[in-house]
Amino acid sequence: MRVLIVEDEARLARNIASVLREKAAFAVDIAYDGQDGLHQAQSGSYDLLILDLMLPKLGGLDILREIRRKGLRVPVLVLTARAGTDNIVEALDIGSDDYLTKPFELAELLARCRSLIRRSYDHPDPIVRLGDIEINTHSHVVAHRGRRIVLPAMEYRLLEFLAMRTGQVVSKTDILEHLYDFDAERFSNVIEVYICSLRKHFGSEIIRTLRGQGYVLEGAKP
Amino acid sequence: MKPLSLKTRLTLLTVVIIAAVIVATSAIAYRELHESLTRVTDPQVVRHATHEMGEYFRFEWILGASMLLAAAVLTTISVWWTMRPIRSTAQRLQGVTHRNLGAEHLDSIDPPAELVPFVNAVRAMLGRIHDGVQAQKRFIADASHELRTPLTLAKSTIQATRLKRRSPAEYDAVLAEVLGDVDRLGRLAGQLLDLARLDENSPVDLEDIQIEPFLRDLAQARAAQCEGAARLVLDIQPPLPAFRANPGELESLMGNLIDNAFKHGPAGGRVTVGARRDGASVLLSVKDEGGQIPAQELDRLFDRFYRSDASRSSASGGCGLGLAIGAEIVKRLGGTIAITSSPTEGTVVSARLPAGS
Repeated sequence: MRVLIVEDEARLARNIASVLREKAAFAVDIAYDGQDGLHQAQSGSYDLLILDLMLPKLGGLDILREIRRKGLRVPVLVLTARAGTDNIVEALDIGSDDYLTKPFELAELLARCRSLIRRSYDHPDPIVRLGDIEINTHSHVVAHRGRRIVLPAMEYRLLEFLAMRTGQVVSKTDILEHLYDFDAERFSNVIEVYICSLRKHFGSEIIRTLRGQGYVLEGAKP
Repeated sequence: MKPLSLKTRLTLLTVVIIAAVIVATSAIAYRELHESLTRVTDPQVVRHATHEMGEYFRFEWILGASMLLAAAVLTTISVWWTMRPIRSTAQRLQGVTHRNLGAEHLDSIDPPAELVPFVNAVRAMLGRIHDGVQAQKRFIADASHELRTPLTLAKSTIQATRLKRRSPAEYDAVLAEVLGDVDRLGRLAGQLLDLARLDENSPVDLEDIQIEPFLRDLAQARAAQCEGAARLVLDIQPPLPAFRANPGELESLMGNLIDNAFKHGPAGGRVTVGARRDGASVLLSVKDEGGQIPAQELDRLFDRFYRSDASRSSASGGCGLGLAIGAEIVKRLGGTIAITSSPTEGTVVSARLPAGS
């Protein structure tokens, strides 16, 4: 999962990013002003947007309006510093999904982020069940036929991402865009290595390759 | 003693005047008639005339009494009618609280021309109080935002650090960051206290200021703090007239101006602190070589918590109170403060303080 933080308070953005990276294994990008934020958000490679309302160059509400106008469905969590509900109501009314008032608990932010992403993929249960595989998206523990498997971070990220799109064809570009942040070096053959490793763990039939199109994680066994 | 109502006063006054007129006219008429009657000898004529006189005075008393009654009734009605807009104004004002100050309370009262200034004055007063309360609310909202920013930063930094074990160097860096936040909170609390004191307008001790050594000491202290950021130059043109000020306040004023100049001027540029005589005033100025501030922002710079960046991030360091505090201090000394900015001249803040004040 990849998250964009649009927040001009550099240290706060850094702190949020480190929680999301360390606790949720998300790929995280940071934009420090509204224009950059809008530009990056429009790339469409994000699973969640964390948006401050008071930003230099372009306000958070304007970004929100613009991305909704362009039809982006990414869930948006708004951060607001102002007391009072006017702002919050306006933000929710023009298309944000949730909000937090500063100062907030990072643990709460993390929980809300996870829940927003789960809901956006229509998986309200934090435990994703695929046949005999159980993925706990909270603890990142994967159980296969009752056996606990602790996957390396990137393999877990890939499995979770595919699991959220069970049955859909996911292209390699999609995977690269959602698993790595902007600064990471991306090699598409790495994805093949991860897929290979996941097949080793859970059986080769779990992930189907559609040549030239991408991969499909199969749901319950036929 | 309870004050007499307007109705009673006007009624009494009218009654007294009318009664006096009736008594006076009756007395004059009686004396005239009586005098003419003494010259008449025919007793029948005297009897008849006396009877007629009696009739006349009875008529005059009845007329007088009805006039008095009519006057009392008319006065009561007119006072009641005139006071109606005042009564309804008073009634409307009963409903005014600090929450609904902004609403129009005195519509459709329809006062007579004489009372229009009164109603307008009340309306204007409510408007001024409303503006004042709004300004206070804005101030509190801004202050809470400014207090919340370092709190948010400190809290999130600590929480993010505690996610896992870190190296001593990392913990060190975190402590330094949080200490910075605490310092910022401390500075802000100090500035808020300064403003509250200035608003209270409590008296402070004034001392004769020797401006030259004062500025020299101050410049030295500030230049040491802002080492390397810019060069500080003194431009003092004697003779300078003596003037009185509170040294703490003057230091806060000039210190804020110098800090701003360091913050907003270019790195490696020059900050000039000037003092010269200008007529009956002392002109203190701080100039940096910073770029042009847009004209529409210049006046607002003295507003509390005003900052040119809309996002109010902590990156620029200040919280927008320095100039507001400076302006209050200058105002209290009976002086004026102004800011000019142009690409060629840089940004100059100058405080004009009356000499001998």
